[in-house]
Amino acid sequence: MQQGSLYPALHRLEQQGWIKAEWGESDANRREKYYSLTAAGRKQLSKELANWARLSNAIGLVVRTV
Amino acid sequence: MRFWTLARLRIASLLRRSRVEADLDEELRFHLDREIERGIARGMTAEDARLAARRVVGGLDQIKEECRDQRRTRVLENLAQDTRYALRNPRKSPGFLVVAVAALALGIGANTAVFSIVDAVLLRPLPYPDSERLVQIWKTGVTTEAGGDWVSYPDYLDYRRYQRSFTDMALYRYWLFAFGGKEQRGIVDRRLRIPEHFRRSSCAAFARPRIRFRRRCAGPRPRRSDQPLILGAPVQQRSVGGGIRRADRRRLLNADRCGRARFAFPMTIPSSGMSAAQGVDIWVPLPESMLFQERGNHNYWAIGRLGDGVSLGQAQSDMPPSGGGWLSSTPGPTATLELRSRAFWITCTPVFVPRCS
Repeated sequence: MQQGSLYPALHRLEQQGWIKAEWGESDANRREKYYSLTAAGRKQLSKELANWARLSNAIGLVVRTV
Repeated sequence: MRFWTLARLRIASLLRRSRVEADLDEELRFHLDREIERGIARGMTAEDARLAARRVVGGLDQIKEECRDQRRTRVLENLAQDTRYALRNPRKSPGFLVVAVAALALGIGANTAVFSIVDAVLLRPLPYPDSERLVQIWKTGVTTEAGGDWVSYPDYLDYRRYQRSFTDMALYRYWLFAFGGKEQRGIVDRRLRIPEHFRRSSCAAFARPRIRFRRRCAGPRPRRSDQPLILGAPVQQRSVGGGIRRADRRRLLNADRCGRARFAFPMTIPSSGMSAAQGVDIWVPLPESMLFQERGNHNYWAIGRLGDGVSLGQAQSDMPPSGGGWLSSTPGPTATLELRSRAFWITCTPVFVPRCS
C-alpha cells in the first residue's frame, strides 16, 4: 500500500471512530503517533472479517467448481 | 450512539482545526523524515534520499487534502471561507456592492410586481360570493349590430320574474353626477353606478360581510322609504381643494335644507375591503323616471348569479324573451348570457349581487 494512500485511510478510520491516535515516545526516544482500535473499531473489524470470510468462501466455492 | 460519536468528532475537527492541521503536518513530516533517514542509511546522499522519500510518500499537499476530505467538514469550512470573503469584498469595492444591491432590488421589485398582478388577477378569490357563477346578461335581436345590447329596466324585471336559473340579479349603469352647492363648485363626480339593490334599503346587501358602511352624518334617522346615497372612497380621498367640503356635503346630502339632492341617509364606503367599489364616487338608487320605465331604454347592465349546479346552457334556455314575447306568438328579443373572465369582474364591473329574498 502506498504511504500516500495510508494516511487518508487512517484519517477516515479515525473520523469514523474506529481507531484513535495518540502521540507517544518510541524506543529511540522519538515522538511518534500510535493508532489503536476503539471498541467500535473492534466491533466493525469483526463484522468486516466475517464478511471477508463469507466472500472468500464463496469465491473458493466458485473456483473449486470450475 | 454512533451518531453522537461522529458528531463529536466532526465538531472537534471544526473547532480545533488548527491543532488537527498541525497534527497532520507533524505526522506527515515524521514519516517523510523516517523515509529520508532510511535512504541515507542505504547510502544515498541527503538530496537523493529526500527525493526518494517524496516519491514513496507522495505529494504532501495532496495527502493533506485527502485527509481533510475524510473529516467531512469541508462544506462548512468552505461556507465560512466564502462568507468571510463576501464580507471582505464589499469594503474593497463599494461600487460593486451598490450595483449588486440595485440589481437585487430591481429583481425583487419586478418579481413582487408581477406576483401582485398574478395574485390579483388569477389567484385571489374575487370579493363576491360565488363569483365563478356571475353572468352578464345581454339582449340580442334589438339591433342588427354584432354582439348584444344592454337591457332596459322592464326587460330586467321580466328576466327577474320569469327566470328559474338565477339566485340573484342586479341592474346598474354609469352616470355623470353634478355635485356641489348652489354655486356648483367642486364638480368632482365622474361616474354614477346604480346597483338595483339600492332600491331596497333594507336589503341584505348592506349587511354583507365584505361591505361595511358607517353612518357619517348625525341627525334624525331617515325613514325606510328614503333613498340612500353612498359616497365612495375616491370622493373622500380626493385632495383637490380638500375633497368634498363639509358645507357642500351638507347641501348634497340634506334634501330638506338644499332641495337639490333627492337622497338622504348618507353613508361612506371604507376604502378597503370593497375592491369592486374602488373608483366609484357615488352610489345612488335607480331613478324613478319615465325614461327609466321605457322598455326601449337599453342603457343598463344586467348581471346575475347562476344557481348552484346550473350550467350556462340551462340558464340560457330558461331565459324568457323580453318584451312580452313569451306571452304572445311573436317572439321578442332574446336574452343572451355570458360568463365573463375574472379580469372583467375585477376591473370593469361593480358586482353587487346581494343575497336578497
